[in-house]
Amino acid sequence: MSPARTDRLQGTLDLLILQTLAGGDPLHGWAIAHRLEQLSREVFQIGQGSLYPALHRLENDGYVDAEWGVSEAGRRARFYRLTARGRRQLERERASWEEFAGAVARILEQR
Amino acid sequence: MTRVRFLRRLHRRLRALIGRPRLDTELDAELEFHLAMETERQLALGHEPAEARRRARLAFGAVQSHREATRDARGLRLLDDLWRDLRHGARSLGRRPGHTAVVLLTLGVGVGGSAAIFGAVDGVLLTPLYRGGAGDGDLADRPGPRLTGSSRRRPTSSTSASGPARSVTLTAMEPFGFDWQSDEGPVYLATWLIYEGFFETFGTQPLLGRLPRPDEYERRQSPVVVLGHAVWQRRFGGDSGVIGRVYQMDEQPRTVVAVMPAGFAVPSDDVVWSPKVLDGWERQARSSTFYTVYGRLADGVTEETATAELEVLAGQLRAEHPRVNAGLGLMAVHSTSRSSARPGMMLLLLSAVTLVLLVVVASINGLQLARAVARSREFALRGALGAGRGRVLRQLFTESLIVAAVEASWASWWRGRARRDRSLAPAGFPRLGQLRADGDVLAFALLVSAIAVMVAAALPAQVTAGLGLRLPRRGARAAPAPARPSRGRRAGE
Repeated sequence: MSPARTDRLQGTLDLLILQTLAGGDPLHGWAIAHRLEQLSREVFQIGQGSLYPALHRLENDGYVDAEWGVSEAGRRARFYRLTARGRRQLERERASWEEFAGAVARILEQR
Repeated sequence: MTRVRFLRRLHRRLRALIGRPRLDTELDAELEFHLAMETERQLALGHEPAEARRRARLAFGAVQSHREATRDARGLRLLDDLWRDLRHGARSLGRRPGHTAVVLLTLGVGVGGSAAIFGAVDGVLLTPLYRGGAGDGDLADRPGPRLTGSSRRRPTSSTSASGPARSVTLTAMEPFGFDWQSDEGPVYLATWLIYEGFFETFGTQPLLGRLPRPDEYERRQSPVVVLGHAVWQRRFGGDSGVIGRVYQMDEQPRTVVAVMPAGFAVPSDDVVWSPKVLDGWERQARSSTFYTVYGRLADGVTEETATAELEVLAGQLRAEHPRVNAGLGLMAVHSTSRSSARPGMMLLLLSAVTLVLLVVVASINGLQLARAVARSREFALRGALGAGRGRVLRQLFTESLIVAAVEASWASWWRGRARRDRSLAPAGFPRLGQLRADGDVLAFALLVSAIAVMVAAALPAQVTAGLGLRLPRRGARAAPAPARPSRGRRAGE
């Protein structure tokens, strides 16, 4: 990814992680990264260097909860789940993003 | 609601702080799981097991930096690092005792010297000699400069207040001590025997009571005493009924006639003053050298005029009594208030401090640089393990801070010692009794040490970081290059 795109992803990573967890099922870190890559058709590549700090920060802020469990492949893994607080935060971030994206779109539409 | 949230966060923080080893293990396990999953994915894509593992590792990047970034996110990183750096710094300083000793000595001389100069400037030039009473404000606010002559001789009859000095009113005091038979047993009171016009010279009115009358400087019967504010508070419980009471002091009943306000501290407010009654032989004696003389400029008289006049006086004394006055002059120290501190003098002292510090910084800089080059292997290794440039710099600064802390405590100890041992002081140093290694001086020493060491560390740190992170060192095995994902850049890298 270009540096500019990296910056943009950094700014929205929290929102994307929260949205990935919005389905309600607990997911481990690798699954979150994998799902984001799939859904973005490989445009986003989430490095561990940003994924785990983001997850732990979200946990620290009380937006996600983490629990150790067993993965599909029978390995011990740490599963993240959205909290009620996290769900409200997701709505706030989504609104803020839509406002931002809308504004950018309106400017780009000017010919 | 907010409180619940706060408690939850506090709980998480505490858990993170106390259960740090467990959390680190958990984080390692989590990262390991991620690595395993990535390896499986590579296998599923059809790679050989060895190749799959290699690709997964490449995609993963530097484990250590992920670990630190995650600790960062937990808000514990700085604390964590500080503790580790302190231990590491202390160890690495201990490993090179010679180098450490030279750095400490160099800094010690510089910072100690600067702190001493600062202490002198603070004590003599910046701290007012006396202040007016409550509501009176700093006397320095009043027009007209004041002059303090620091002399080691009592003004004799020819130089006393009514003598030929017209531009200056002179007064003097001599050190003494009273044994006071208090209700709780004998108490020693630091005492100054004062000459007529002492309080009037300073123009300060008592807080309570009245100043000694002229006749009380002449007669030996029913002697009087004036209490300093601190003595009054500490020994007499701040009781305003103390005026007029008679106490047994120095084997004589003495009447308290006044209490001076808190700001009046000549030379301290923790003393008592009592009029000096001169004996006949004392009027003749010319070799008593224990007096402190103060002078006050008459209105409209410049300091230069007064100094010139005093110099003439000193010349006359030398001529009249050559045996005891040979080689003695008068030194006027303009030191009664902040506003009268001479800018020129301050500038000179500040330049001296700055110069000394610059030399110290330069020397330490050289030493640290030599050491930094010697340590570049260590930093190259840390760089290869994923420590960022900022991280290495932070460690170097922490090491510098250890040196600064040792230094500051040493400097303050030395100053305390120098204060007790007056033989170290230059002869004729004004108001030596008022100098102390107080909080201001300690703070100054700390600040100066920290700045000096920081500045001294900055260049070597810069060089070290450059050497360590960019140049592969001869003899150091080529460390595995920081992993770069093959599929282009990853978020946050």
